[in-house]
Amino acid sequence: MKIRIDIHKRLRSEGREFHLHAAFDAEHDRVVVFGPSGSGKSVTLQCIAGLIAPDAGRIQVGERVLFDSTAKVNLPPRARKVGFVYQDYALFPHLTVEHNIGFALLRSLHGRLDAAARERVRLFLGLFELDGLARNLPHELSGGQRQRVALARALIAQPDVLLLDEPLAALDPILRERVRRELLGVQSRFKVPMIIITHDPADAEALAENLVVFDHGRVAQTFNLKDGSSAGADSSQRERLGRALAELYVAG
Amino acid sequence: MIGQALVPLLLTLKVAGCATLLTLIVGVALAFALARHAFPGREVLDAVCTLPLVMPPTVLGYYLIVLIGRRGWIGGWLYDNLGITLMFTWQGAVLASSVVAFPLVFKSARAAFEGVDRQLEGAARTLGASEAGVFFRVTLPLAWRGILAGTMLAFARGMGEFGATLMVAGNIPGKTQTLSLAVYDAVEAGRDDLANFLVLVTSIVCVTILLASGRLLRPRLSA
Repeated sequence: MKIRIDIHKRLRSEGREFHLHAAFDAEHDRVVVFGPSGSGKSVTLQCIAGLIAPDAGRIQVGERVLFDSTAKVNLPPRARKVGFVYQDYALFPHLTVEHNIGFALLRSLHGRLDAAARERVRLFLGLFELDGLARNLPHELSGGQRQRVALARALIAQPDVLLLDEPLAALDPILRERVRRELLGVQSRFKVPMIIITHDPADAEALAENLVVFDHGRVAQTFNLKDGSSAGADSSQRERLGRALAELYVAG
Repeated sequence: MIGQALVPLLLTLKVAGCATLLTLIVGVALAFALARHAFPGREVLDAVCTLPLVMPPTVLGYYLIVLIGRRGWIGGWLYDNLGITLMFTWQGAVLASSVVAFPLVFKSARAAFEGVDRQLEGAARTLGASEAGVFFRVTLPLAWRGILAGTMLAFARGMGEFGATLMVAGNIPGKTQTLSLAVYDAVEAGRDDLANFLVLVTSIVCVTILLASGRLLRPRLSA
């Protein structure tokens, strides 16, 4: 899936003004957005989801234009078909696991999931190793279980693209490795393009097909790792990546 | 004596109930608007909405007379065009109680809405929920405890309303004489037994409400 982003956003926090200009194209299905904290990664993701409106620019996912300031296009989040997994998962604390995962399937303002929706939720509970937890509340789950509920909840809505804000940051090294594998598994099962934020170079190396490096509200560099590695000949790109990551290791 | 207490008690419950419903609808709507939208004058509006909490009820009653009296801004129009007046009616008492109790609903509702994690609302939006869906499926269910606690306080405050009610609705037995006014009358008339009984009834109702709202306000064991 082709993703094209070129947005400007002025942000004010603690009296300082921050100018974000995020511009990158990505053609592969695993895009890693990498950079130190405060470099504008998370704001960019929220702009793609429609949770923050950019001041100007254009956002295109596949053939669909989600935002275009010159053409006055600004789809509301509910019409974007963009899944979003927050860093702390943002599970609805008042709803059971079943109703969290089934949230997107219920269109009325209240009421219960119908039989078809419950069946689909049951399928997702199985896929994400959450059997037996349908009636539990989020606060009764472990961190890993919560993350899987958040993934299932986003994917059941069949998004065109899945955005993950620092899915690996809160995890210890062993769990981290496991979640990386899980994310790869989710991707191959659901065939859903992902944009993943991280500030850990190891995550970038393990997951990225397209790598976008943010620094101070700008896209500092982009890498196409999939084609680069399959060709095996683009040694200058590998070298450039190595240098960039080393630099950020030192800076981080 | 029970009969003498029953009439003002029923009237009090009716007035306080209607006033609570009115403040609930207006208070929650305004609180949500102020909690979720930044606009110029927001904090001024917040202060105006909170003012009845600190102003003497008689002053509020006077303001209401200026507004809804027969020659008032709104009351004059109502009387000239529809031939109705709210002065010295139980509906006037409802209005007086509403104004006095309004800040209790408004303040607790605003705090409750501001306590709802915005990320949860964002998550609901990305999952396809409309703005009404976000409000009724996420925001309100997470804020209702605070709102309900404020509403119960408003009901208790409405039950005890005296000053503003007296000025707007008067003290007409069987028509606008609520419990607190009946207590005043009984004491003035030297009927201590009736006063004792009325005071006891009022106290029991108010203590019950406070205990219930205290339970609702207590934080849950886990988030």
